[in-house]
Amino acid sequence: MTNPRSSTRENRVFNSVFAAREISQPTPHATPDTVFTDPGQRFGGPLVDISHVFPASSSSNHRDDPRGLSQEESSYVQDKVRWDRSWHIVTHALLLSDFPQNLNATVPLQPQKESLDGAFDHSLDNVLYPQDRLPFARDTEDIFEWHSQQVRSHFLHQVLPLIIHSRRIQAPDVFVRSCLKILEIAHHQYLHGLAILKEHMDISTPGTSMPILAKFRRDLHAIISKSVMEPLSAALRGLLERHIYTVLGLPLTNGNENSAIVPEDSYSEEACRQILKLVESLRNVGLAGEKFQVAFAEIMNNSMTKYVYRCCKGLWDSEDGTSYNNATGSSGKEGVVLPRAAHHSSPSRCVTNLCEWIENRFAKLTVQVLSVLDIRTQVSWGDKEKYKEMGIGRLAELRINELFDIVKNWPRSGGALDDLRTAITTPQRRLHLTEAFANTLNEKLLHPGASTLQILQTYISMIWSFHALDNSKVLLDRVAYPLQLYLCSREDTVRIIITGLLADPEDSEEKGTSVEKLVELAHLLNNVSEKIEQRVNDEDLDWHDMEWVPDPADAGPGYKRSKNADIIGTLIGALGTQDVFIKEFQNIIGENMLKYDGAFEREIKVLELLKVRFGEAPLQACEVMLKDIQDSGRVNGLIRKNQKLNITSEEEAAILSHRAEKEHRQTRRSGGPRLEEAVEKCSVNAKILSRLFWPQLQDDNFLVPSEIAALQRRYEEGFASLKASRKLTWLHALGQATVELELEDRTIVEEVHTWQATVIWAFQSDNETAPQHSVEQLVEHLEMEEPLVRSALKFWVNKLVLHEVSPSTFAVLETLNQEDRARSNAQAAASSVANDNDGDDESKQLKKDGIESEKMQLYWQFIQSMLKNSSSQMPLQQIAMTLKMLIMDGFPYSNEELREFLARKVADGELELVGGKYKLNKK
Amino acid sequence: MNYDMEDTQNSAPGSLPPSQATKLAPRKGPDAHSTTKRSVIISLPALPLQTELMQLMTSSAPGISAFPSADGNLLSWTATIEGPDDTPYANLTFKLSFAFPSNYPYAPPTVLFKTPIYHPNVDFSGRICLDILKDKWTAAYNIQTVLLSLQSLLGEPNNASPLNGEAAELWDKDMEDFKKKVLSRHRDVDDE
Repeated sequence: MTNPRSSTRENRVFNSVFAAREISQPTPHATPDTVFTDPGQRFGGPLVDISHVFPASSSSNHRDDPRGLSQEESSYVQDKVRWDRSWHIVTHALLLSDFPQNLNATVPLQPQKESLDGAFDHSLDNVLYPQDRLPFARDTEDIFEWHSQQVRSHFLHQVLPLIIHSRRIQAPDVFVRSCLKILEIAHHQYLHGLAILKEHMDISTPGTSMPILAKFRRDLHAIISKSVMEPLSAALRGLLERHIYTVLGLPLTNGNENSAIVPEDSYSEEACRQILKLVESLRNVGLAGEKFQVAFAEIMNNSMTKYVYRCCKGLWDSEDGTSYNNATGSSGKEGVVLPRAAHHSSPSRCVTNLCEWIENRFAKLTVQVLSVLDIRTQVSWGDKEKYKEMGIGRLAELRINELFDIVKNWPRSGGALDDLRTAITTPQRRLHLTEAFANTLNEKLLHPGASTLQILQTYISMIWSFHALDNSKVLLDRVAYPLQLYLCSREDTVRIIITGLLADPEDSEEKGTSVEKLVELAHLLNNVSEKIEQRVNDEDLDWHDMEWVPDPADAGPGYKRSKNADIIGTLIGALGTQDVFIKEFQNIIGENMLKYDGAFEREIKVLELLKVRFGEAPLQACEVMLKDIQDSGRVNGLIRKNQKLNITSEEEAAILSHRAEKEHRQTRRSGGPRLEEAVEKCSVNAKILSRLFWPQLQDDNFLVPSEIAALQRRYEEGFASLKASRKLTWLHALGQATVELELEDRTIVEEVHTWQATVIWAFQSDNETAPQHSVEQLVEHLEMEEPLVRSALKFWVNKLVLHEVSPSTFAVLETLNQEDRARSNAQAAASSVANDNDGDDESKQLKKDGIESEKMQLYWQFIQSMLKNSSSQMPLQQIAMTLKMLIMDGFPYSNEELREFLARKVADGELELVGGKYKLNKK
Repeated sequence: MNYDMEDTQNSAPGSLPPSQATKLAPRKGPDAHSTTKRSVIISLPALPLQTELMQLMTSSAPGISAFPSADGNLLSWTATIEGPDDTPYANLTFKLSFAFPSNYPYAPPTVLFKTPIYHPNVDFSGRICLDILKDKWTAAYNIQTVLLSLQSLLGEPNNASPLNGEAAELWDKDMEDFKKKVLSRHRDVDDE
C-alpha cells in the first residue's frame, strides 16, 4: 500500500480529468442558458417538446424565480443553471477535507458553521428541494446520496489505509485504541457535513431528517464494520479478552497450575471501566455489530469454561468445602446463589463457588456490556439462571472426564462427587456419565497390565463413589457390568477377595501389606455385618420409611433398590456363581487351618457372613472343616494323654543328634474323618479331618523317619481305642515340624515342612563322618519325589546346614569356618533373592504344577479323543474352542498356553503339526 | 394370584407372606443372574452328555473312545472301538456314529458303524442288532457301557439273530474264511 497522501493526489488528478461527481464544476455564469441538445437537434435551439420530457414540471408553480421565466424553455435552462450552481456551492462547502495525519492535533471541522453564508443556505434549499424551487432543472441529484458516496470513498481511500497501516506498525492494544480514535474522528467529520444538512432541513421541513439520517448512519456503519472489523477483530479480541479475564478474576497466563480466582479489586474495576469505554466507542463508530457481539459471547463462553477448569479441576476434597459453606453463611443465601435446578441437593463447594462467581461477576459484566450495547434484549433473571446451569453443566463435563481419577481417590474426593451429584440431573447426563466412565474404565483398567488386586480395589472405590453419587445403584450397575465380566475372566479374583476377607486389618496397618491384600474387605467385614441383617428385610414393605423416593427414571427392569453400598455383597455376587466362591473359600480356609493353630475367629466370622448370604446348606462342608479342627484339638489332647506320647518322645530325643518334631496329617481312605497330628517336644500332634468335606489335598507320600512312624502307630492305636470304627490315614506331606539341629559349632531351630524335616533327618549321624547323600539316593530311600527332595535340599543349603560337595551330592556343614561362611553367604545371597520364602514358595509351585499337570492330563485326554473321533486333524483355534465348549468347569488357559502345551506334545512325538493343523501321530 | 394378593394385604407389614418369601429367595445373589445367563449357551438336553463326556475322559476304558462331532453339536458323537485281541477283529479300529435323541438318557442313541465291518449282527449299511440299543435300553446305560457292549459283541456275536446270515454261518463253520472276509471288508474311514 502506498502512502495515502500520494494515492489521494493521484485520485485527484484522475478526477480532474474524468469529472467525478463530488467535485462537479459549476456551470460558468457566462455560459448561455442552454443545455446539451438531444441527438439530431440544433445546439442552442429551443426545445420542441418540453412537456413531453417533463410532464410534471409544467404544472408546478415557480414561486422563487429570480428572472421570471416567460417561456418554458428558458425557465428550464434557468433552473438547470441554478441547480448546477447551487449544487456546486453546496458540494464545495461540504467537500471532505483530507484526513488529518496527526490524530492528536484538533483539526477544525470543515466547513466551519460561521463560514457558511446566505448564499449557501439559498443553494442548499435549491439542492434539497429541487422540485419546488427549480421545477425545470433536469438531472437533479440527491445531496444525501452524494454525501454518502463521498464519505464512502473518503473512508476507503483515506481512513482505511491509515488503519491498515497502523495495524502493521503498532502493538495490538495501541492499534485498537488508535483505530478507534481514527474512526471516531472520521465519524465526526462525516456527521458534521450531515449535521449541516440536517439543521437546514429541520428549519425548512421539520421532522423529515430522521429517516435520512438513520439511513446514512446505517450505511456508514455497514461499511465501517465490513471493512474494519476484519483487520481489527484479532487485536480487539485480545484486548477484550484480557480485560474480561481481569474483570472476572481469571488468570491471564495459560499455566497449568491451579491459580485461584482474583477477588474483585481496583484492577478489575478499572478493567471493567475500560471495557465499557471500549464498547461504547465501538458502538459509536458502528463496530458493535453482530461480529462484535459474537466475539464477546465467545469470550464469555470461554471464560466460563476456563473458570471451571481453573477453579475446579482436581479440587475434590470436601473437608474445606463444609467449612466454606458454613462460613458463607445462611441457607437463604445459598438459595439465592444456586439455580433452581440444583436446589434439591446440598450444594457442594465448587458448585457454590461457581454460582457465586456467575452471579457476582459473570452476569454482572454481561449486564453492563449489554446495556452499553443498547440491545433490546436485556439480561433477565432467567438468563442468569441459565448461565448458572451452563456453568454447572461445564463442571459436570469436567468431573465426568475426571471421574476415573476421582473414583481412584476415594474417599478423598467426596467434594467432586457432590459436584457431580448436583450436576447429573437429567437422564442424558447420567447416560453420558456412565458411557464416558465405561470408556475410561476399559482404557485404563481392564487390560492385562492391571493386576486383579488393583481392579478389585478400583471396583470397591467405584461402589463407594457411585453409591455416594447416586444411591439408587442404577449408575453403578451400568458401569460395573463390563468390569464384572472382566473380573470373571481373571482366575485369581475369588482368591484375592477371600484372602482379603480373611486378612487381619491391624496386622496390615502395621506392616503396610495393603499392597498385597484387599484389607479394605477385612475392615468392611468388621463394620458392615450388622447392616446385612437389615438388608434381609424387604424395603418395599417398610411403610414407615419417610425418606422413600420412587425408583429413578432410568432404572432398568428388575431393578432392586438397596440403601447401603454393601461392598462385600456386590463383590461376591458379581463374581460368578456361589459354587466357585465357596470352593475357593474352602480351599483357603483349609490351607489356613492346616498351617496355623488358633481359634480361627476370622474364618468363623467370614463363614457366618457367607452363611447369611448363601444359606447354610452350601457351606456345610466349611462348617464341618471348622468343626474338625476344633474337635481334633480335643481328641489330640486325649490321645496323647492316653498313649503317654510326651514322655517317650523325650527319651528318644535325647539320643538323637538331630531332633525333629513333626506334625502330620492323616486321612482315612474311605470317607470318615481325617486326622492331622502334631508333636510337641518330639511328639506327634494331629489334626483330624473328615476327608469327604475337605478339598483335594496334596498327598505326596514318602517314608517318614522310623522314629516318627513309631509314634504315628502309637497315635493310631490311641485313636482306634477312642473311635473304634474309624481308621487314620496319614498325610505326610502336609503339616509342620520344628527341627532342632545340633551341629558342631551351632544349634539351629527351624519351623519347617515335614518333607524338609524328613530330608534333613536322613543326614543325621552318630559317628564322626558326616554322611553324604546324592539326590538319587535320597529319592530312593525316602520314596519321595525328586522335585520335593531337591527343593528341600536347596532349603537346607540356604540355611547353611548342607552344602553341595559335588553336583547333586550334599553333605552336612558341621563347622562354619570363615571361608565356608563367606562362600555360604555368597551362595545364600545369590539364591536368597529368588528363594526368600525358601521352600514355601517352591512347595506351592510344586503343588500348582502338580494340579496343572493333572488337569492337563485331562485336557490331553480330551484332545486325544477329539482328534481320534471327531476330526483327525484340527487347527489350534478349533481345539481351543471345543475344549472351552465341552469342559464343564471351563478351560482356563489361553490359546498361547494351549499352543505351548501342544508344542510339547509334538516334541514328545505324540502329535504332528501339519499345515497349521494338529493330528495324532500314528505309531 | 388373587389369593396371593389377599394374603399380602391381610398379613401384618412386618411378617413376610410366603409368596413374597419365595420371591426373595433368588435375590440372594442378585448378580448371579448375569453369570448364569452367560453359560446358558449349552442347551439343556446337552448337559447330561457333557457330564458323560467328563466321565469318559477321566475314567477311560482301554480300546474305546468317543467325542462329540466337530460341528459342536453335542447330540452327535463319533466313537472309536479297537478290535479286541484274540478275535478276528484284532488290530482293527472301527468308527461309530452316535446320534442322541433330545430326551437322552431316557431313550437310546442311534448307533451305526461308520467303518465297513463284516459281523453277524451288523448289516452292510452299519446298522447294529443289539438289544440294549433297542428294547432293553435303560437310563442307566451310557456311552461307555454301550461301547463296551459293542466291543464284546465283536468277540461274541449273537448268532441267534443275525443281520448278516452269511457271516453268522461262517463264524460257526470256517473261522479262517471269516477272518479273510473281515479283513477284506475293513477299510479305514477318514472323514476328511
